[in-house]
Amino acid sequence: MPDIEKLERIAAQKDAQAYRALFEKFGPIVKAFMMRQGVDAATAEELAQETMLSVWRKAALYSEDKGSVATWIFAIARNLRIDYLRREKTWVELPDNYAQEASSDTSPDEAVSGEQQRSIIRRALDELPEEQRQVVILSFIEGLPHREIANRLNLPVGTVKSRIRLAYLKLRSAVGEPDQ
Amino acid sequence: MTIKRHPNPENLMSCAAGSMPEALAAVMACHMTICPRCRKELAFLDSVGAALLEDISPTPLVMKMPSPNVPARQPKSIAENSIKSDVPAPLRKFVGNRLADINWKRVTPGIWQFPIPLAKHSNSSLKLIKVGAGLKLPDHGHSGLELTLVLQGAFSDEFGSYEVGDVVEMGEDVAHAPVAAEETGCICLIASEGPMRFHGLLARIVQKFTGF
Repeated sequence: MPDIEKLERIAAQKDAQAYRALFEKFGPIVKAFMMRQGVDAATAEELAQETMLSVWRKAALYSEDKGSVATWIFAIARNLRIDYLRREKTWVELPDNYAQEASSDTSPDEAVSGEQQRSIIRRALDELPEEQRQVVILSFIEGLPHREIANRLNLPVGTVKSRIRLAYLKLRSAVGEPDQ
Repeated sequence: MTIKRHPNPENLMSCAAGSMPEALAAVMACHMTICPRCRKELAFLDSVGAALLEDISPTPLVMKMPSPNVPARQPKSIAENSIKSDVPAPLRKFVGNRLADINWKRVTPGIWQFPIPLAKHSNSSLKLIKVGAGLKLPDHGHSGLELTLVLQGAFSDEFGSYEVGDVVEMGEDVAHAPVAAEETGCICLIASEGPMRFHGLLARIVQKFTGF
């Protein structure tokens, strides 16, 4: 059963089996992600449980416009982590209708399904030069600001930024050019 | 409204990664509420984040079954966005719904500001600034990245002119002398990674008052 169907079942009938399947697929990864972000194991556990609880509660709010189920869960986990680490929830969480509105713009990307986009991005990530892939991982997975990435790698901040920019341009052009 | 100047890719990426200093993240969030193009970029970058998660080796996590009584979350009110307001939604709880009603603090004749409180360890600062029509700010540099979002009116500097919705990035080694538009003046949201550095004597006096 695809992830989307599992979410629909959770939304429609609080399907415990569908939830278990999503939990087993994403929960342990979200917990590991939280630990990579520098959160202690107990808090990582708590944040992962909270992420999955949000999946349960918000299942009906998901729509394919928001990207794949994995993308949606990533965004929930990231927002909870920011909320926990910096207590700055106000800035991150956009009202629920934004993503839908955003994707109502005409765009060539829309012809690409969530699953296709996922494999395109995977391939593009695998093809990045190591030095670019490294800064993207430090940004997304370790949650480091540009300045801290620079310190960690002993590089000027400008170099970190230009590597991230190059990585972005490659990833972005893999799924279609951005609007101007 | 056509927005001409968007945040740079590296800032979109750290915004999606949730790894930006708080003040910069606030400017990005406000820009997102008025820029469909960047919302779409952010959605794309979220899918990059999701793809990266696939490479993480999982850590055991015992499933807790949520009680069936846990209420489903209701969609956030769309009304919140349809309120007639010239203040981006994320700022409203600090300043209210109208730029004109903000409790501006005068810095010098023609310049007002309103600081927005952030978490103590944010390593960044955030403020609204209002500059009277045609007024020129002193030439100044920046000790870190500065992101400016134009909320009302327009301004220009050596590098270009900026209108409502535009995001202007000033890097560490860049100095500029912005001038508010003749007709309208300008209201901006400014995030800085570190304190701004003014050149010149008058500038230092201004700095004393503004803390820039």
